[in-house]
Amino acid sequence: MSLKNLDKQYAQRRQTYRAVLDNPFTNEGSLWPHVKDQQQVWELIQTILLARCRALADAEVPAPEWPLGITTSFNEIVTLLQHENDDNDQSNRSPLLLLVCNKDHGVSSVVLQQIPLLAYMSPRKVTLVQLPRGALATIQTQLKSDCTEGLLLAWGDELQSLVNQITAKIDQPQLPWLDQVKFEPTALKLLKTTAPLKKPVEKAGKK
Amino acid sequence: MSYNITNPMAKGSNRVENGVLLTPPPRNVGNKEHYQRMNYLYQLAMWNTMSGNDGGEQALARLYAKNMDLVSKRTRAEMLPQLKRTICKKCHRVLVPKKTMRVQTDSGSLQLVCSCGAVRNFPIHLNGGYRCYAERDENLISM
Repeated sequence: MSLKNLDKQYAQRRQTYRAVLDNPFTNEGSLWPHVKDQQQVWELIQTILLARCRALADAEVPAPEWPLGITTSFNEIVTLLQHENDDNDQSNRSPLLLLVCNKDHGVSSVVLQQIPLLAYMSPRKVTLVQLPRGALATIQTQLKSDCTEGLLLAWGDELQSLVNQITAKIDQPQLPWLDQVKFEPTALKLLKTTAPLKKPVEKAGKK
Repeated sequence: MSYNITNPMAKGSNRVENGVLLTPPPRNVGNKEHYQRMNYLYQLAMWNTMSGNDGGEQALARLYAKNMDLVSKRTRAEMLPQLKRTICKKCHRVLVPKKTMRVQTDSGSLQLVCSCGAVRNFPIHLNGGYRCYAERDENLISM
């Protein structure tokens, strides 16, 4: 047994717990709308949306000429979500489908924290769908793009039937604190940390 | 001498893992009132921001958020990063997209631009899946 392993058998530090205040409003359960039949929704998205995008990408059709709008850029998504409704503009009435790979590793938690709020505050009707683990790799393959933020926004009248099918399987997003605030109890949590067991040795000459 | 603490084989001692003496979490937290006060102030700030009763400056909401920040600092009652990210460090506005802030990405960073002009940068291009210590589920225990 090495000296390092021997050292690990004897405690140098002890575990301590620090109380921290969590955000009373952002518990994971209510932020992301619950998907009732995740497998079926994912299959629908793959067959109707992603397979079509793959075909268009293979045919080397330029993105602006695609019959449906697709973007993975965060800034574009934010612009589209925050765009005010204009009744004269036909394109603004089409449904928005926002797919989020929130369970995949490599998607920033800071970005993910903003998405449900952005979708909820949007003046347009947005269907927010959380995708299963591993969806990011599939999207990257089908779209042939890096899609680093793990977001995909699709819009267009052709998606109406897909959106209707998905909406039937997804709960409505509930962020009650943005409409009428109801007092939430204190979300207190304990953070595991460590502290040294031995007191630090005082330097010679110090009193 | 506390042999029970340092010797893992002693009767009634706690478990030692990687040189760390594991102890059970406490049942109660001291100074809970401070956390409750901060929680209440945050919810007041949010309500005032969303109701829009105090105009575009959100003076009352900012005052509540600033009070919360002061209570946190004076009493050393800590907040999780997820909560701190929703408050502007400069003007103490509660940051809500489209209402009090703008979100954008710029050269690999997520930028939260408050109405007051303050910008907070979060680098996301280097290690997208990075979560700080307090954000990891295994380090947090609900009470």
